[in-house]
Amino acid sequence: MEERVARRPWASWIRPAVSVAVVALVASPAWRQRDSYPLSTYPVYADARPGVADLPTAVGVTAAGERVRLSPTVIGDSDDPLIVADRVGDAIAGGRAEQVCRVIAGRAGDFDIDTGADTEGDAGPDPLVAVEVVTEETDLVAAVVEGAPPLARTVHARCPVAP
Amino acid sequence: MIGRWLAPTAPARRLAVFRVLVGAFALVYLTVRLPAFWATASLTEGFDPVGVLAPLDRPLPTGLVRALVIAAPLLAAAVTAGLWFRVTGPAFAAVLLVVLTYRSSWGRLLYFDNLLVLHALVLACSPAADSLAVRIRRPSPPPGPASAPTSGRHLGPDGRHLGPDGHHPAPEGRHLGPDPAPPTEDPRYGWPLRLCALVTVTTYVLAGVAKLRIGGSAWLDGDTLANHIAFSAARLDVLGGTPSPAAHLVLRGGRWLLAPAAVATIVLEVGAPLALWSRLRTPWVIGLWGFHAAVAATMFVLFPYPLALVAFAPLYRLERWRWPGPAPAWLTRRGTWGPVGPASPA
Repeated sequence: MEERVARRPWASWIRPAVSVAVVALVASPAWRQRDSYPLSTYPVYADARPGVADLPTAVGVTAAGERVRLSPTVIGDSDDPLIVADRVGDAIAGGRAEQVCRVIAGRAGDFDIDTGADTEGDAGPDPLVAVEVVTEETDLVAAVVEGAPPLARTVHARCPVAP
Repeated sequence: MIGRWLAPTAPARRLAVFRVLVGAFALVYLTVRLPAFWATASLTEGFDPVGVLAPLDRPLPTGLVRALVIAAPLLAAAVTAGLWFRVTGPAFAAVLLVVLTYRSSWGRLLYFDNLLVLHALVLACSPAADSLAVRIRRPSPPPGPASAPTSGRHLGPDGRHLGPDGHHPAPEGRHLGPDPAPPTEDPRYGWPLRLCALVTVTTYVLAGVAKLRIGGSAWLDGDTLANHIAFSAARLDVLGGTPSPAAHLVLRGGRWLLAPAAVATIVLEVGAPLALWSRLRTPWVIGLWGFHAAVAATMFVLFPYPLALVAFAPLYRLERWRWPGPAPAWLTRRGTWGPVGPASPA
């Protein structure tokens, strides 16, 4: 090893210098306050989340006026809830709730309320008549522990489901 | 002193085992998540490029994205095997960086695989395939003057080729299983591992600092953690998914656990550099792994790289891990699995 160092004297300082530079680069988002990829401030779950939150989603409406949950695939054309939540939230924030509502209604025609599955034409005994794009103000812990209903529901768009 | 600590000596096998772990993890991850990466090729709205893709003003061509998504696991397989690593190592790191950055360039930064990319970039610049690498055998040259080596760069005093550590590689047929000779320790192999370990602990420190900076002391009282768990479950419920039963259990009967869990999380993250001290390494890893496992169980949010323990691997003497049985038969047919250097003359 000593021979190697003697042959490459730069190695004794270049490696520590590069190490310090790389660690500084990885840590740099913290003082630049700029989140990116793959250099990040890692702010995931860092906020002091309040107990009440607005949850954007879409719900089905039956002929009897009952609101039912749809599936992530029907709502956002994905099985990833993060992506689905973003698509609905972005649509509401961007003023495209009507447009997204029609797209969801197009997928909801074959949705089975009982099984939560796409039934390809057989929508069950109580088919959906409409879809609403909504924001539900929710007491988070109460909703999970007690199944509490939303504190408030804001309807951004409502559109019919084709029979 | 600090120079030796930052670049400690290590055997080639230790770095090579880490290369195999990172490559194998990436191969599985990129294959399992291939549909998600493939889907990014057809996205058109909401393009918000980040990182190395920030200069782009429009999405990449669909065909290019799909080619990269296909190339990524293939390169991961090559890196796992150590095949043509001087080319495949940097290519793998570059393609992985682009594919994962592209997925985060649609309005939501994802944090599941940052460490994987950073470790791949470090490995790409290291001699990580000096051991445990498949070498495609070249046909034996015919005896005679034509078979004499043309370059003296890797020759020993006796005219035979030398391996990467300046030793003669073992004869053909002895490369399988444990390395044929005790590996020479060199800072070339220890430095990348120490650097990867530093990168790992730095990212956890950043995560802890972010919680204190953004959430403040409210993060420590347990209510914030309860609200995060409840938010994940409630969001999943309104989107028609199935919330975690563990979230219900914790929020109903185990809320007293959340304040100490929040404090422990901050201590583990901000105190991550203590993991570089060997006595605290394993307790820290167990604590962080437990944190990720609890997040996965209660929030259905998976951080696969640390959950698979690969994120923590550079903290350990990986050369002590041995192949559990005889080497697979395909290796004996197609190449060798051991120290790599020019083939010794027949």
